[in-house]
Amino acid sequence: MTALAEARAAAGSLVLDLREVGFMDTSGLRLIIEEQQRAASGGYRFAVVRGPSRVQRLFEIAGLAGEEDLFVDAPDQLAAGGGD
Amino acid sequence: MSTRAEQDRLALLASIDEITEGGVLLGETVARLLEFVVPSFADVATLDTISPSGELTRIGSRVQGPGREELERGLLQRRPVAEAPVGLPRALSSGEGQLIERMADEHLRAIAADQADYELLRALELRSMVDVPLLARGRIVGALACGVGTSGRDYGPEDLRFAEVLSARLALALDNAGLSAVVSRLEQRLEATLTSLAEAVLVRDAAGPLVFANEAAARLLGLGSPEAVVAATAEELMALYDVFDERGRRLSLADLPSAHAARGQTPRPLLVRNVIRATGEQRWLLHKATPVFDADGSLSMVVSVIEDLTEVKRGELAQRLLAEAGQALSSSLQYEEGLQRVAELAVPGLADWCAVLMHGDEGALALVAVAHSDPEKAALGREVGAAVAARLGEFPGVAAAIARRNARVIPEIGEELLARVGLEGELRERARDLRLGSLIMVPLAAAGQPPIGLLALAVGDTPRRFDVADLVLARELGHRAAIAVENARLYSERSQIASTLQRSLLPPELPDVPGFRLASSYQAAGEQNDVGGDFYDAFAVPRGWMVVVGDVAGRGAEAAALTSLSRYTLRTAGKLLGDPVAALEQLNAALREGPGLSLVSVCCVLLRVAEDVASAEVVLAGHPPALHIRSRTVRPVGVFAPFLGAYPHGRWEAITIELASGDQLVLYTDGVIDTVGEEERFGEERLAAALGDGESAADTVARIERAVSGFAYGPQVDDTAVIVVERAGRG
Repeated sequence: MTALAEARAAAGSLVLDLREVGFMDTSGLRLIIEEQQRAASGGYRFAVVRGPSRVQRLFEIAGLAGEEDLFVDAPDQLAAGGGD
Repeated sequence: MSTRAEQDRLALLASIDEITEGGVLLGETVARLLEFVVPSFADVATLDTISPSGELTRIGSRVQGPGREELERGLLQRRPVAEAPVGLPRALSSGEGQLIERMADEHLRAIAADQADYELLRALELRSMVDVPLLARGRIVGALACGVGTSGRDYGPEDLRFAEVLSARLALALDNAGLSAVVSRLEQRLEATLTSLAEAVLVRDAAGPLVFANEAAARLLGLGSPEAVVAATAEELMALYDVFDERGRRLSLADLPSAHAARGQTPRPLLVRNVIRATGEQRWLLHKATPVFDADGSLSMVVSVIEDLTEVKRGELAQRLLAEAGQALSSSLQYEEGLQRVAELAVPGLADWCAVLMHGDEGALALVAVAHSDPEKAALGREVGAAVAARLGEFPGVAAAIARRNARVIPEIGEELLARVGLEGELRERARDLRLGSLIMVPLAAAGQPPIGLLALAVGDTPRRFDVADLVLARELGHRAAIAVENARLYSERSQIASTLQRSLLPPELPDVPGFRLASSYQAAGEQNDVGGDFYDAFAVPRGWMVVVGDVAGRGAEAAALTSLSRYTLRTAGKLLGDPVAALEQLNAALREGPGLSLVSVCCVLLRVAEDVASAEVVLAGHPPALHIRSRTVRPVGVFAPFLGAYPHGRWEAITIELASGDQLVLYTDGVIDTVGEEERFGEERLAAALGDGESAADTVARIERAVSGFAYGPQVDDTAVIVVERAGRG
């Protein structure tokens, strides 16, 4: 995930846009959970733009669908919303 | 006529013969011809050629006396009037020479095209004229016009006759010069091209005999000189070689492009392997042939160009052989199959025969592969080879050479050798039938490893001769084959370890659970030695039985360790605590202790029967729901909750359902719904649709397997695990 690492270094927040993702499995979820935890301890914000229903189903199964903090509606929402 | 004049005329005729033989270019010839005519025979002369379509072209003019250059220019540009009843036009139309002994003004008027032309003709001060057609090969090819005036001479009938003799010579000279100009241009171009060509060029007359061969032809065909090539008939030449196509099929003269071209066809180039019988020297030759037709459409000659592609072909062959051999060896898990394929690749390009022998457990050689381009011969070779293999080491020097990782070349397999390797009676007859020539044996040895066998290449009933390049290629092939065999052996050892390990991650067989019937299916993805991450288990706990299906992210040793940890932690915690949620919390805690993020998804079910009522307590952790089937209706069961290992504290929740007789509960891993189809993933809907009609736990498992394998497209990318629990009715 060097692309993610670079993005993280560049900005105080990171948004993963899943809207164009056709397929994701648990290895993708694993990365998101890792990132979520790294953001929590690293002091930056991390969010995901919901993907297609097939991808969103994975978040559901993982018990993450209800985590409002994890999701944003658009990639620029974190910045626009101010954050910290 | 004076003697002097006669001598001049003889000299003139002789001169014309000289330039006729010279074969010089046309323009120069004309100038020289006219130089001979003027002044010795005429004061004014012009030369015209006439094309087959009748078109007259003035190609030269010569005048002596004052103002000659201007007059010559004027005459050169002049176009004779075609319909004039006298002079040149008349000579051309009648084909007979014309003599005007006394030129009169009326003659000039008749000949002149206009006033300017008339002035020009008058300026020549002509007294007499002869105009004669030039006849060559029965055809009028031009005309010579001669006039006298300024020198005070007159022409008489004798002069006309001389002019006719002269014209015959001139016609010949011009014809030759014209032809030789064309021919020599072609020849010069051809010769320059042909001599510089590396390709062999052979020109065959329509009638059959060779009329031309270049140096390269002599070289390629192994003959001393182009003359030696030309002296031989096609049959004689062909008898010097064995010719094969790329697949090793023997070719005859009639198969070659030149034979097709001789029938007027335009054949495609043909690549042949040409073996010179006398020396065994082998070359790859690309034969091209073109028919050349005359103007009337009949075949005039056949031009054959033969290109020597030996180096190209050899490099290509070596590369392709090694590449394909590598592929064959790596794509086959059974190295014997790979070696057979390698042997097949080596014939007939590298050798007529190829065999691979390997040391068995006791060190004796055993035949593992034989190939010949003719399957019947291959079968025969296999029979003989199998009998000989064990004693092949007794071929002089073979054992020692192979042990020292050297190659061994046996130039000739004679009777003595056949006897020495123990071939007797019928088998010896068969060995003789193989007509083996020379033999190369190279060790099968990977770097730093003792040889595991040998690769043998042999010449069959073709006069092929092995050379150093063949030996180098054979050694490389043996080297690669050995590496592949070593790898295959390691691979099969590793996959054995892997399958042992995988088995340890799954229960040897599902236990009998009173009141329930269980069935399961497990399909590991991909390579045998890649231990995967799905697991399932079923074991007794204090209040009933626990059934677990889980999935560990990742593959390989790390995933295997995690799978093992998960399975045994759940088993232990389940047995001790008897509660699925508590068991999952235990595993979550264990996973959180490890370094890094270890995620495990689990569907854990506690089966119980109390007072004949069966129930299932279902807990999910990052896992798809269990599917409850009752009366063909499929319903998901479970509350979605996080993966185990993801967070320090979980909120896993149990859902309890009642299982009536015949009810089924399907637990599966996401490998099932993520199965890749031609266009999309298998998905939960297809899974649900496949389940409805399941008669029993085993039937449902079979239905899922069928539906998934029928849907799958391409290689399986993830493990799939399915376990089905069926309530067996009372008891």
